Amino acid sequence: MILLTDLTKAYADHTALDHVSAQFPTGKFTAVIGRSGAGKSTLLRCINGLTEVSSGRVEIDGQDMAKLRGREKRALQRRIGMIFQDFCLVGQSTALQNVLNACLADMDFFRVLFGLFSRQQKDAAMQMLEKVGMADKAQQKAASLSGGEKQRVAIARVLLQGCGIVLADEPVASLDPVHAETVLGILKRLQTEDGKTVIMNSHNVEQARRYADIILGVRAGRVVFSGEPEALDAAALERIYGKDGAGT
Amino acid sequence: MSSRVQANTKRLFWLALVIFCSWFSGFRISVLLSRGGEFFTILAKMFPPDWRYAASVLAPLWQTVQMSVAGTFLGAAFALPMAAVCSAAVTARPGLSAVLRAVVNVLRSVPVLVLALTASFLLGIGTLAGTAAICVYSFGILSRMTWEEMDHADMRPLETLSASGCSRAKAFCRTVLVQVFPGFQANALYVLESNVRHAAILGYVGAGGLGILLNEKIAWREYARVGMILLLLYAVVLLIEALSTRCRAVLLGVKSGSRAERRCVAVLLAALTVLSLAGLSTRGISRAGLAVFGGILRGLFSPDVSLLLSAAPTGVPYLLLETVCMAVTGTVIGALISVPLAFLGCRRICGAVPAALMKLLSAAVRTIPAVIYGLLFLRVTGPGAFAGLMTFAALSVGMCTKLFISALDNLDYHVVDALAATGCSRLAVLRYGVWPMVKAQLVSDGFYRFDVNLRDAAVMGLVGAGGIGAPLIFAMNNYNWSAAGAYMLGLMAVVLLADWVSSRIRRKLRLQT
Repeated sequence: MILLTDLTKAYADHTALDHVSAQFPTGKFTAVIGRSGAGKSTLLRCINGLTEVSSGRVEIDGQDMAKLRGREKRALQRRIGMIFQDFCLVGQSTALQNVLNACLADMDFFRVLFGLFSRQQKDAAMQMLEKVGMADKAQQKAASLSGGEKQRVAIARVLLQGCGIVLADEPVASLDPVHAETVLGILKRLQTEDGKTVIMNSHNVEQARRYADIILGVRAGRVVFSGEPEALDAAALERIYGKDGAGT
Repeated sequence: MSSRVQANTKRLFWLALVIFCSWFSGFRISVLLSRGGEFFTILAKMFPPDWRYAASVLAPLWQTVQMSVAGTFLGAAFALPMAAVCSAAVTARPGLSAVLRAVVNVLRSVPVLVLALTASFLLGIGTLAGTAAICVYSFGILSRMTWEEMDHADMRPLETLSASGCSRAKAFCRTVLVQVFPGFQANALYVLESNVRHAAILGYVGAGGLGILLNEKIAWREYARVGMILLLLYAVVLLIEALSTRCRAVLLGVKSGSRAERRCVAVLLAALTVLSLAGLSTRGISRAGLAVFGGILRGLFSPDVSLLLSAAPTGVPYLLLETVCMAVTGTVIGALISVPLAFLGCRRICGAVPAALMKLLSAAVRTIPAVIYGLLFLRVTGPGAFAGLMTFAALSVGMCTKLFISALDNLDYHVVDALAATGCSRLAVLRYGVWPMVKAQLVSDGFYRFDVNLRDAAVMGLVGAGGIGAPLIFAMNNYNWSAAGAYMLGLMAVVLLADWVSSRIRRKLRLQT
């Protein structure tokens, strides 16, 4: 269970999150929707500790991420995998090497420096690539893969990390519809087959309705909707997107 | 002020600057016209070379290669971690990064000849001193080149891995380092090329290699033997440049190399490095050397202030002005000569045969050490700044031709082809197609060479060719540390200032390309 209590993130010129309280139940798929600049990405980045909170609590299975530092923080972060809109792969490395980067946290420094991965690690990485349908491109440089393929490699890396929570920050925003459906399908299977907790930001309300168990609507740094997709009616959309209903 | 008036004002400023520098450094075209033939007097005596002397050159030549390879390898090994700490984008300690950058920049401003002289005091006469000097020199250059590449690397994979619980150091190794390492290796090979040429003259100050032999043969006026030394050095320079160019092309993905080829080259480089490091000897290190080194440091921290403030021709300000004027004039002359040579050396423009010949010629020009040029020009101009600026010009021709050819080779010729397809003459295509695309890069490369010339100012001291080099070397050889400190501080300040100005100008020019 991820529990946000009175979470605030304030910058010099604006407040990105304003006293946000929300729950993300274990093993559920939650979609976070809202306009650009509503605070969706900041919300995800506060959950995994990439962004320091100004005040409030970010509890993950009882531990407050906001208060942790150093090794303790990294230990908790290892339980959270993150996927980004722009994939964040190392272009000069192969798909396999990018997936193997998930093992770095548990390796000693010199093995990391010289890239000395064990046979078991390589086999496990290949299995994850097979799971996302990318085994045949394991030796291809990441820079030469298509957008959808890169995102699948990023998901394979998260799978190898063995984390229970997956955060996806607009994972399909830069993909064509076909590849987007493939990636969303894989993310959904992570939840239904592997029991992972998935939290996904999205601009696309239709995709959110189809894949999510719970939808969280954010506007101007505040949660203005929280409920099942069936409850996302016109009034709720107006609260999230304003009168022009952008994003529907 | 309109942009046209601004542009014209800038041009006038630069022209006035070059005219002033030419006048101040004693450039006289009439002297070149009347006595230019003297340049070839000694040069002609070097050919044909004394072939029987070849066997005697091999051992010092090998020492020169050893110093270059070992020094470059060690410098590169230290530069990589230093770059990681200095990179503003990578490090989590910006304050430490800023301090270390300043230290590295100061170290970079020390001429390699002065490093070699200091090392020979500290470590004794021999190849260890030369290796140490090249190590420090390479460390400075490669640290800066690498941290600038790290600053522009894609940081998102690093942040992604850090966010998943990986320590920043480990995440750095598999993200940023993977991105910059091929470029780092390519830069190290490029620095190795220039280090072979530096190493050839370090013996002049007791730091081992060919320099001692060159010094001796020039002093005895055995010019045929000097010709043999230069010929063998040329062969080694060609070999190393060919190997380096091929390796860099494979590392940077410009050319694909087979696995067998890459392994072969890796084994060759590793063997060369191991043999070079194995040749280092610590026999020359002594306590007396440490005392001398202490004297050098004391001189830096308590320089002769009267020299620093004196307006006399022997004072630091005058000597620095002379040095800068020599470097400006020499660079401009060298760059102007290099432009037509570069066009001749560009395969796309003049064809494969002229290009190959020009590249050989340019390598030959680069191989000849500054002391030889100084010697040749002294016969034309007499001792003083004029000989120094002509030496800078000759050195600039060597490097600028190579850089300009590279700039021309890397142009997008689709644009040029489109112009040629309209039926333009060849000259029009060059003038309106090639030149606008390449001129900013050529000017940027010219500024880079000016920067290098200023750092090599100490070399002029070896041949009495004006500037601050001679008094600096003289003061160090006479253990006059406070005077040496004054000259060193002045030179380092000017080099740092020129580096800052040159970097800003090159950054602006890069935006135009």
